[in-house]
Amino acid sequence: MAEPGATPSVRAAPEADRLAAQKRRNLWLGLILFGFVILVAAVSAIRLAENIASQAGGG
Amino acid sequence: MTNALTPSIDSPRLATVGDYLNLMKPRIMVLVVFTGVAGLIAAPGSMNPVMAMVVVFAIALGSGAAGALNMWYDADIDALMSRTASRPIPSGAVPRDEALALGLIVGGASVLVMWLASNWVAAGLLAMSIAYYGWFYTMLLKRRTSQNIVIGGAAGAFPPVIGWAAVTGNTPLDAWLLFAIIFAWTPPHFWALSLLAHKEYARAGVPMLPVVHGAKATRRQILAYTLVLFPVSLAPVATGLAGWIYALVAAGLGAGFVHLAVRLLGSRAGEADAAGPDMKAARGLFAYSIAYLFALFGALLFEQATGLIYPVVAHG
Repeated sequence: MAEPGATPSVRAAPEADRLAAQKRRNLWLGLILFGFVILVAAVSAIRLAENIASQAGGG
Repeated sequence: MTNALTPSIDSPRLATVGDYLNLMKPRIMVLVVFTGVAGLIAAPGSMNPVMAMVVVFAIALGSGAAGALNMWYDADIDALMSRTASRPIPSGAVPRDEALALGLIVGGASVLVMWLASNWVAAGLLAMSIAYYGWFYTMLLKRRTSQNIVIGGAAGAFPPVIGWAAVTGNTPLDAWLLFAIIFAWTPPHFWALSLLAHKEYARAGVPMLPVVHGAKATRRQILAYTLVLFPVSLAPVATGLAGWIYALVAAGLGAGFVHLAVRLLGSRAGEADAAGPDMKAARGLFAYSIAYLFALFGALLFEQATGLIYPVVAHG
């Protein structure tokens, strides 16, 4: 038994899938970019700490 | 007969995270990371463990970037070969432009991260290896010469040198010996595969050795490079980088490699009338070559990580 609105929703399904996939991808991109920023910040902090420690040791 | 390209145009599917990961050739990445770690561990000196992990991550990213650039450029021939037709671009999941963008962005990010985490020598070598594979091998060599994978094989040989340089900031002879092992290993590894897929390479117009010079010449070349690989694999023993454990593993594995290459030479693998056992010989060598490299670098890693290096050659 088909609902009156069934046909349009079936037609819209591929578009809905595409949008959902695009949303998922955007989320992943955001997470990856965030991860990259954290990575660069962490690496910079460790380098900074190493440099400070070596200067303190040398001085 | 349907054209392999047709379904990709008619029925594009939605890309998943897995498609983008596949674009970065994860299987090759595993081998690249493993050999890169071997160089990192074998290098004298120490490194902050977190930084070491970041270096390994940068090597993995660089490998992935090169893989994406390769898939971007080779999408047309990938669509013609059954082995590669299901890759993200020919299957219609990922647009070519996205693969190019991914390769360039991830490649740039990997070099930047490598520079931040180690030094400009390692970052420069990483940038060079990405360009070597993504541009020099993929765009210049692969479709032009039957020696494509001999020259292009250097791209896959860089990781241990990069790992070494990340620790020390330089690249001494020992690092280049690890490079030489992978360089000599690459031709027998890829030519065994090309004996299995030579018809597809011919259809795609890729001048792999069996396509241009025939299967017999390829089997001969496989044995020749395997014979070169044997002493090269033992060179780290002579310089003191590796000890008895590695020497025994390398000798045993090398003997096995030569045995399989001789057996392959006596087969008709890659010929038009090749039977099942012939192709099994090629398949066997291909599988063995992968296990060989993991075991060889595994032995080196074991010695270096445990400190159980019993020198074969005394160094004053």
